[in-house]
Amino acid sequence: MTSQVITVHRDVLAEARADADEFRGAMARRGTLVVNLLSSPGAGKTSLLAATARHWSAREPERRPSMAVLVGDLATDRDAQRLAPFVPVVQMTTGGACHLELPLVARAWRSLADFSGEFLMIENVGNLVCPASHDLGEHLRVILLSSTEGDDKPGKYPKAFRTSQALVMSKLDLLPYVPFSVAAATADARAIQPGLAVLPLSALDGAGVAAWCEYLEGERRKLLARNSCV
Amino acid sequence: MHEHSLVQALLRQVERLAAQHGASRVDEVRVRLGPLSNVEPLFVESAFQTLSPATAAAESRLVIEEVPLTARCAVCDSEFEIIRFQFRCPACDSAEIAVTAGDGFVLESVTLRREEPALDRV
Repeated sequence: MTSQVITVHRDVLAEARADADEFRGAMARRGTLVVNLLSSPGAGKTSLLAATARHWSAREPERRPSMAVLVGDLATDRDAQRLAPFVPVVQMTTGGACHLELPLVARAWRSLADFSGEFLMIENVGNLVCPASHDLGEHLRVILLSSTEGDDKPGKYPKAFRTSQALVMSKLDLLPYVPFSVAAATADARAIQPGLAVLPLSALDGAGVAAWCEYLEGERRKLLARNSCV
Repeated sequence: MHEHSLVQALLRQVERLAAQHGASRVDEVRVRLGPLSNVEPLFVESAFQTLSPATAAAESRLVIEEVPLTARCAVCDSEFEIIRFQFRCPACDSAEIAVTAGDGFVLESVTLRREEPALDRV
């Protein structure tokens, strides 16, 4: 009987990340920017997506970006029903799982086989904890923080903010009624992720939605430029 | 709580290592995690107890090492611990830093046991 210590020193999620890299590369070659939207439940992910679709649909057809949405929830297809009038959408029902993983996303993506648009938006399960650890093959991770949640949240969920590239502050139409400081939330989030882009908006009255859409289009142009260099 | 799915991925890797090395059993599985791992050690332990009996890691001991969150500065090259999730270099205040430990769920090592070939019977 012999005993042998095998040194591995490898992250348990390394394999899943390699799969995510492959998905990311394939989507970049198609010219599709993949966005992973994270937030707590009810922060306004679906409303933001509906406002985005409405904003773009007001443009003349040749300047109108196309997007599809994959939406994750524990139960029901309520979000898919809300978005279906605007965009191609697939509901991923996790049956109780607290986050999405790439195999679920890839399966939902395959059911959108004829979609070859500019933006694939993944609406994650409402949760600021577990989704932060799982790479879905996105090019851009966007975290939403709504004014009703409080401006002290970034420091409480450091991984979600550290792994995001942009912070959307939503429901800012409620600022006159709730004690929320955009400056305090920005400072708290940027202590964790100094490079975070901050996009304040209200999906309800439309303020800031144009800037958000321009940000997305800018990120897609950067992706295309990076991809043509390699 | 996603510890269950992380431990499933961990056990898949342990089983593959055991098979590759022709091990008859796994004595120890050593993992490392830290403040930005988003993993609760107690939940990892309980997921391991639930899931490992059906695998090559049945009867193995899980050792969880908790390490601090550390980073290296790309500007001044100093290495430091990140306190209270303030992601800036304490030496030069740069934000160009790379986390070096404490943000993952890392399989450090496995201790495998192998039956020696019974030479006297060959």
